[in-house]
Amino acid sequence: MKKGALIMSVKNENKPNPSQERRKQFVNSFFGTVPVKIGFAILVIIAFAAIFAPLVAPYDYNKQDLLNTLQAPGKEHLLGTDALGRDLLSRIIYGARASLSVGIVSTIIAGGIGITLGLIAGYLGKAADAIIMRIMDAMMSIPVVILALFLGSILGKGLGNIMLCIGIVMMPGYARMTRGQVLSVKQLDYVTAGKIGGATRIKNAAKHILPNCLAPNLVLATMNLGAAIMVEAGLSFLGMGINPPTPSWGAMVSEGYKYLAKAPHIAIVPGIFIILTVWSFNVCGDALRDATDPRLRGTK
Amino acid sequence: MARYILKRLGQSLIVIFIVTIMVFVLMHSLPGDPVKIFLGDSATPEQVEYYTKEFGLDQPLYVQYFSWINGLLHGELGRSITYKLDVKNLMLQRLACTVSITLPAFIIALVIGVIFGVITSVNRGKPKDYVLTSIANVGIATPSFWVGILLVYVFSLKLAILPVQGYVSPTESLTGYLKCLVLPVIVLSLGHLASTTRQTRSSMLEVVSQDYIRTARSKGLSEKTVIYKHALRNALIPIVTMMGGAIGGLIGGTVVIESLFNIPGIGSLMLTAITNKDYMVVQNVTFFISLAVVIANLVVDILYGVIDPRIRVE
Amino acid sequence: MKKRIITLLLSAAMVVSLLAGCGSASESNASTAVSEDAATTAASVSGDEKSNSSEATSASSSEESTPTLTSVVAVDQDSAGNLETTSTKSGGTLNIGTAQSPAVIGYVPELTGNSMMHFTRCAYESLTYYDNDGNIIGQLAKDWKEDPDEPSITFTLLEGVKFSDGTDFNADAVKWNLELYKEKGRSETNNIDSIEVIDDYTIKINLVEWQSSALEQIGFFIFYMSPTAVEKNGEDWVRQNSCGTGPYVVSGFEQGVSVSYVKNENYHIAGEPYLDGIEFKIFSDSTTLENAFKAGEVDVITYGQDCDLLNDLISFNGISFDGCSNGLGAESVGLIPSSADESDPFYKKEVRQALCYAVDWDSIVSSLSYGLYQRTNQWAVPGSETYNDEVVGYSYDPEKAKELLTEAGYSDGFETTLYTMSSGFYNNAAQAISAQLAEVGITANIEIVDATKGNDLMTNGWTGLYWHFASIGPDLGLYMGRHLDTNGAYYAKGIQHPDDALKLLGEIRTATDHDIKVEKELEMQKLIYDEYALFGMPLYVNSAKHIRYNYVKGGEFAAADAISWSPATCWLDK
Repeated sequence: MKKGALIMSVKNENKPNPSQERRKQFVNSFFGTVPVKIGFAILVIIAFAAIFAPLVAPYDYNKQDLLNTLQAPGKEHLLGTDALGRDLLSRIIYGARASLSVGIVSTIIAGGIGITLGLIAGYLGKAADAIIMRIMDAMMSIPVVILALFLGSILGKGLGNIMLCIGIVMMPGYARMTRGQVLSVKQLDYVTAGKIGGATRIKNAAKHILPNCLAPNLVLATMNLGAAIMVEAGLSFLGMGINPPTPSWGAMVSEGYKYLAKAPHIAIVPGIFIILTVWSFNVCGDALRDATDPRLRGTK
Repeated sequence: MARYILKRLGQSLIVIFIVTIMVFVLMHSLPGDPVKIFLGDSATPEQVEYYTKEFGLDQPLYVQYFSWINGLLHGELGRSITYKLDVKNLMLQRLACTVSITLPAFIIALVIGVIFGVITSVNRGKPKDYVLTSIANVGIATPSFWVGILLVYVFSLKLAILPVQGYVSPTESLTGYLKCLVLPVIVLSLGHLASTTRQTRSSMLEVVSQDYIRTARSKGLSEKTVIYKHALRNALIPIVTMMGGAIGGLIGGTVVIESLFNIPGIGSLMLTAITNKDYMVVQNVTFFISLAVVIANLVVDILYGVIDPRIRVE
Repeated sequence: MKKRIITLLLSAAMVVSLLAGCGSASESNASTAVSEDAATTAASVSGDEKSNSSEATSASSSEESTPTLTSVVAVDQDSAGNLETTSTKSGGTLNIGTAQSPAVIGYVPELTGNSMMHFTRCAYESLTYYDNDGNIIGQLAKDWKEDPDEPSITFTLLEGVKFSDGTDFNADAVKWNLELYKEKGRSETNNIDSIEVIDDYTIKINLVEWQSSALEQIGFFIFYMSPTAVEKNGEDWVRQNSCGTGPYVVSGFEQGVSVSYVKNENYHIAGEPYLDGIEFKIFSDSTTLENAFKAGEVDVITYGQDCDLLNDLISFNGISFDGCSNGLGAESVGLIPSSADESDPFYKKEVRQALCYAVDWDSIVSSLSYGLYQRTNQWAVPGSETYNDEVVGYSYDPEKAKELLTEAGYSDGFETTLYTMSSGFYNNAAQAISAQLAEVGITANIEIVDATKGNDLMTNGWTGLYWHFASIGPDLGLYMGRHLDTNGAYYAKGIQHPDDALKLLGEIRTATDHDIKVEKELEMQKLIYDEYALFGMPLYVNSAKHIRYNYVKGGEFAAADAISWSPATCWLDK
């Protein structure tokens, strides 16, 4: 008996279980193309730099050197210095913190509120659905920048407020997506079967609806992260963003505009980083969507 | 069909109503006193009191709300506190300017975006696809103001072939208008061009794998007919639905562009008005922009319903 | 071992040469001193004080002792004064680029602030003006008589002058306008008790009390609209148009965008104006303004004072910089702490003094302005009549700052807010100042404000530090009073008002002897700056520079007064 059991267990160990299979397939699909590999790598590097900024940055981002302002990239300052003689590379690294944290936190806020509202609307249906969706529609018909300007003026400046502001502005997309998902899942038989089985409403939601909603929302979040970073950059450019001296890529582009003729790198380099980061998020988002959507696997 | 249209219409009206409440609440939540801003630093308390009454700002909020709505319905849009002009005229003037820039941008983004989208989907996997898709992907990741700054640097400063800033109305001088148009339109259309390309591509790819396309091909129709007559038409549907929201995006995009290029349009009007807490201007302009978006979405939804019966049953 | 010594020596050598280089660099920076006006960079912020100038003083300005922009830009210069030799050409439209944005353009009682002057003077005129040495000359008045005993001023008006609508300019019109100013609460007419029309061209103005600056307040800062036009067309129309006696008439006004003027065919000086029209283009961004100027899209930049703009344009060929050499219209920019509230750390003078010691103002100003801004440490242009050489000021001494803070009970420092505009020099300087304050324990959190909020802070008070824009004309009774008075119009709500300072202010205002007045003004400088550090630390002097292409002749930009020009005499040589 024991020997048989041993053989059986060894046999079973060699056979890969379905979830491991799925995971492997997912990873292969996700990292299928070159751009994704590059994008993911960029994100990892930027995230690393942002998290370990104090260790990575060669200078303190606020260390002013009034005698060495507007220096071109050189040995001492790899990316040159800005109008106050601060090292641009260090400011970009710390700027990654601002941009990434704004992007991530605002997305979490948007996703959190949006998904909850979408779940409520989709599951409860009827009046709740109508009211919530109309409010989302109303929010979506006010242009993002204008809504952000409003909220920014009301909430005031400061990192936390900017995150809240952008979070609120981007919320409707998640609500809509989630509601749509809930509606389509609701139709599926096993949910009805679950109901017949006497499962409570909440249990139903948790077990069946939620997991199916998460994937598309995750994709949406990855794409929206880039958008959130762009909105923050735009607000900073208009002077409505984060207060100095905290560096933010958008604000750096805005400040650099003044010195375009004599020190173009100040405006250009932060912009390049915005592009790299947003591009990487988008590319990963695309890949994520393709990897989680069984129909699209193989159409790339 | 009629039921569908009515339902959509009803929903849109509710949305518009909610928009008015939102805009009103947001506007009145802004810090600062518009009368003090308007009168400036030499305001005496008597002047403040006088003008507060004059602008009706001493009334309770719900009264102010209803008098605004009432005015809207009668076409009376109030007076701008900062510009001392009627909001209606101010808005139309600025709107004309913005539209003369965003409309070309919109058309360019749509047309070129679709063309690129078709090219990439037809040439999937080949270099053409790779190059154009990469450009599109970079395009949506590029901040418009950054591109604007670069273009100004190259074309206005270094090469001096285009004006640095400003706006000339087409009625005043066509060449002047066209010259002022180039840079802002390029910048504005960039993002939408890129996203339209991507949308068209994915939409086309999905359509092309459908059965009826295979049927059309097996019928012996030329590839061109298959692509443009059958595939594209169907692929365009989701793109067109996207256009409704694109209007909102374009208007929002103009805030930054107008600030950069010194264009006296709706965007810069909004920026000034929000800063100056110019109630009437902000409320009405935001309302009309939202109205435009809602109407666009409504029209698109109805058309979509006409084309695809499945939608109506939703 | 050997290697290490060589490395050490090399680094030491580098450090030494660096220090030496820095030393000479800052010296040469300090020598090119050019001042600017704050208002434009901070797009329509505060610098718009109602500027009442004082008695004309030919203040020796920066341009005597140090090379200025006018001399640096050598080559094709043509001084604005030497017109007589060249024959003028008529015609053409002058394009002016400016950051100033008037809300209304023609209803003069609502046009306040220095920066509006260059618009106003296109269509309107005042009773008196100045010559290039700062002496009062007549514009719409050909003569005047002051009587300190009554007290009154009697003006004899110019005859044959018409408003742009064809109606006559006469004593009745003057009375009508003065009464309107009074009705609108303008401070220039506060001192007017009654007005008597003696005849068509003679008008007697009875004052409430004698003030040495009364003549200029009434003469220079009040403009005259056609009563007929205002009554016929209404205030609203006049706001968007003009009806003055000036050389041009408003033909188009788009707020925030542009102002267009055409020639006034009824202008009272024969042959003038030369231009067909003037077009003001309004720019909210100074870089865009600079680019437009370089591209030739505008011919003149008025009130150009952004140091980056000036620095970029210094080496540009074919242009001239016009500044005022007689001290009239000068402004200063400084950092002012809130001292009104007892709970505010800056309530105590030791803390305000600590603020002054804690920052290296000289190097911040010189490096951030490329040496173009001139420093001052009091309420006057260095070298002018009311500039007190004996004011000690505050050297850069962080240790002393910490000592003072401890004395005041803030040995652990404190937190406060530094409000600033988002652009250019202000933003950079604010960050530099904040960093240095941090080193003595003062945490100054930067908060960006826009023009509107800035105005609000200035009028209604603030808590913390903010930029101080002040008209620093020589007459302290007039200019400093507007801040120092308990109910002053500018910054007054945010600061305390020491009794002895107020008393001295009163004495300055009522002084009848000029020398005694100056003596007291010098005393005031010491009291306010050395004793109380009430206005914090002034950073630099700002007299607007107008920048024009050399083919723009005449115009007398800033010749008589930093904020004015003579539109009638301007012509284009092309």
